[in-house]
Amino acid sequence: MTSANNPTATQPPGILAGVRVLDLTRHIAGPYCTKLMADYGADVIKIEQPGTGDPSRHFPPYYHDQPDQEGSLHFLYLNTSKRSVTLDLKTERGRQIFLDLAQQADVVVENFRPGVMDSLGIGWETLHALKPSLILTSISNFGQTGPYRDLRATELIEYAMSGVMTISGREDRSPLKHGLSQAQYDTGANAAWVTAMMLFWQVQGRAGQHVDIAIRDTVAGTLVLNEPYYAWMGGIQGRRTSAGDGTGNGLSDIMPCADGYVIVQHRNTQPWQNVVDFLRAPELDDDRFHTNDGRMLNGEELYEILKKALSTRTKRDLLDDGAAHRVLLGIVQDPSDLVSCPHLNARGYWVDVEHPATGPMKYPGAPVRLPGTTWRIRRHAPLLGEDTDEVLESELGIGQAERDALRAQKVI
Amino acid sequence: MTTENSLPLDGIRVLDLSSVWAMPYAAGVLTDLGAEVIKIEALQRLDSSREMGVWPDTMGGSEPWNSVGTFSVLNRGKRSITLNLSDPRGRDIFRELVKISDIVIENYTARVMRNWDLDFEHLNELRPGIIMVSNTGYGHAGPWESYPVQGTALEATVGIPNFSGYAGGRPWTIGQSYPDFVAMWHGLFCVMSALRRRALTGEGQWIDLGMYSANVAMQGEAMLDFIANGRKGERIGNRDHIQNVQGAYQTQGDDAWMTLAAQTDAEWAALCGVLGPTAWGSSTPPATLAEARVRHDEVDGVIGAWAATQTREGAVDAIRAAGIAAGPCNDARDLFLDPQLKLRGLYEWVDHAPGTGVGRRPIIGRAFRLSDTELKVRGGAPPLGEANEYVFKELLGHSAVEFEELVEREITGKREPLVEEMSGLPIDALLGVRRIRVYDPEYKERLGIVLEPD
Repeated sequence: MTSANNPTATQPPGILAGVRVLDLTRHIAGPYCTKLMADYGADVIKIEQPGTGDPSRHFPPYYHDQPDQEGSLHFLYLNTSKRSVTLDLKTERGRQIFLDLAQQADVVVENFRPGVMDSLGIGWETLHALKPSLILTSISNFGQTGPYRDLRATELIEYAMSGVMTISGREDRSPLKHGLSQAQYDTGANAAWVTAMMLFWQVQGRAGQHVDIAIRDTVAGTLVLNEPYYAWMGGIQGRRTSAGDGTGNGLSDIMPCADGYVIVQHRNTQPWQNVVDFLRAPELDDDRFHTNDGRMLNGEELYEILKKALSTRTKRDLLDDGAAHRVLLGIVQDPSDLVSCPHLNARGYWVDVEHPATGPMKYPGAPVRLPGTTWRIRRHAPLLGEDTDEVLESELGIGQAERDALRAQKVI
Repeated sequence: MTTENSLPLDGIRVLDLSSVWAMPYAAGVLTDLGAEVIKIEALQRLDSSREMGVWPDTMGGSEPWNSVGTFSVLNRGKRSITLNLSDPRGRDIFRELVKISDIVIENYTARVMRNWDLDFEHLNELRPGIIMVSNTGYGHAGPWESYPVQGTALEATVGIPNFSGYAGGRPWTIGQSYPDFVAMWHGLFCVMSALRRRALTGEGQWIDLGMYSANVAMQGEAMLDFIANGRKGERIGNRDHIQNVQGAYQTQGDDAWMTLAAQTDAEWAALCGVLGPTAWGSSTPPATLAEARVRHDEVDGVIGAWAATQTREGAVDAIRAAGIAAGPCNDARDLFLDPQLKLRGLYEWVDHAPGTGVGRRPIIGRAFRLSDTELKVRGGAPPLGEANEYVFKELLGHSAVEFEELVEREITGKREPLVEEMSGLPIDALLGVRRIRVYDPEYKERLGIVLEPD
């Protein structure tokens, strides 16, 4: 456990200290973008619909499996270090309060359907006229332009349309997607870096811009092998062959071992002999296996040798011994392995976060270490509207009486 | 205010020591943004991705290290020099370069830069305010610090295959070297944040980019589900763990598949309307989305039987017309020809260096658009060592005599073309081992590839 969540006065600020983000995002992609910014020091004010809030408050899994708008583990993870203000943007007063807050922000991030910002009267033209330095980052399924702009999609459909599924899985079964919500997280991370680039642009006195991020473009952008196969030689890649347990030659793919699964990968900059020694399989010291092409052409035989060599050994033994032989090794880990991982724990990865609905709980920590600045979960994910009073009072000077009236009208 | 047509990273110089995929791709994108990126390899040790992937029509020619497709996507717009850092004189020259640069990107094993006294503290003394990215599998410090790993193997360790794969089956990796891209996005986020901070404070930054920790951060809810509820996760194929009825279904055509997702009771009812009253045989169709989820295997059978009678496009159109989200499983060709991606300019036409045999071909550009700055790929990947003279003589002011001495000592130099031209596995063999599933002999005409641009 680290002190990451128990700051001392001597801790330096986060790398994005001084940045104010007005966060209209919901679900996963947008909130991951603004979580990165918040945990690295930006002041993120999350705007939520009065009464219901971010829809991800109502996504399972929940803490102790009890449905509760303060207990969604999605929401708790993705909204750390942010403040929550409830505001009905469909009311004129709500819209005005939003624009007043935007005056004090450096960035607005949103992931409504394209066109919704305009219909709420807070679109790019309005924001740009209001404050020329302001950046607007918009995240959507297919982008703010083009014939697919208004098509609906989910994580599965994004994966399919991005091209990743067609090459994932085995050729005699259906295409496969990643588990969990990787396309959403990917896009949050992509949006975060482009937004940070525009903050660098802004700090040099340049006008803000509208950043247009699409989930599908983000995922399709990862096909740096698949696409050149077509553009360089007309090859269309498919899924893995159905030999053995669904693998080609067994290298670079998941293979069973004594107590789980591993991946053995060979890199051309290292001698093949390293793999032979590591696997204690002298039959691999054969001309047919010494080149990439040979390993491809003699794949079934290689697969059988590899499978046998791995079957008697544990994944941790293989990981440590692979490192000793300079062979690239991966071991399939589940969350219990990760939480108890000696490496992550030695690096102080997991951090304690105290939340009113859960008490103290471990969370994943800094994705990247930036020595000299501080990554920190400064506070738990906000309760719905937890900071409405404080933000309206301190940022806009809206007093108690007016807030009571706004609350009665369900504007906040 | 600067001029309107300036690029975000104009005037920024980057030294790129990295190899393979993650950091080369990040540095390649920096060239689109206006940075001058100098890719540094040693004659004795090229970036291994110069040898991984596909040559034009499988022909590598006499300089096969200059024409690999993936290498071109990752290294577009860069300058290339050779510089042997294993030689102390090579490291002195690198130090000279650091003094006139803004960003250093490397992905050596943790001990390498330290042993050369080229870690952040040393670089920041040479060039106060330097930004350094150190990309490793596991990050600097910790018991696995020096364990060698690359994206494909690391995908297992980070945990995502635990949740990926057919129901009841083994774990699967998905896509191609997925953790590399996670590292790229997070690395660029830190680089841009550091550039902003440097503009404000003058301070440099070391970025300890371990791919492991960044990838675990992308599975937050699953980690908390274990910590709070003891759940270790499971593989559910293409199903949704929250609310949808969804899947991938094979249609008519060659390995043609479509996906759909019904998200509400109304959408479920609309889907039943498309499937028709006779689709369920003797059983009663599920009345609600929740019931359909309980009977998901049966539902998949019914949707699959319907899809098998449709073309891929016909099925997608019919489902969308009913107000339900749907989309095709696209392959590489579909993506290049896709009207949405065309309009958004995801693929860009790039003229590659003469002599590489690549010509003008499309590569992946950037997955974002800006309202007021038009970005574009600034050139193909650099032939090995093409910028040696520019960097040594123009940037560093070495004399011709000094330069020749470095060439003599193989600290820099060019690689001689091969006497015998290289070619890859022929198309029949690639099809036989399933490296590719289909060969399209008309791909050049379909895309409009020009082998010898003006």
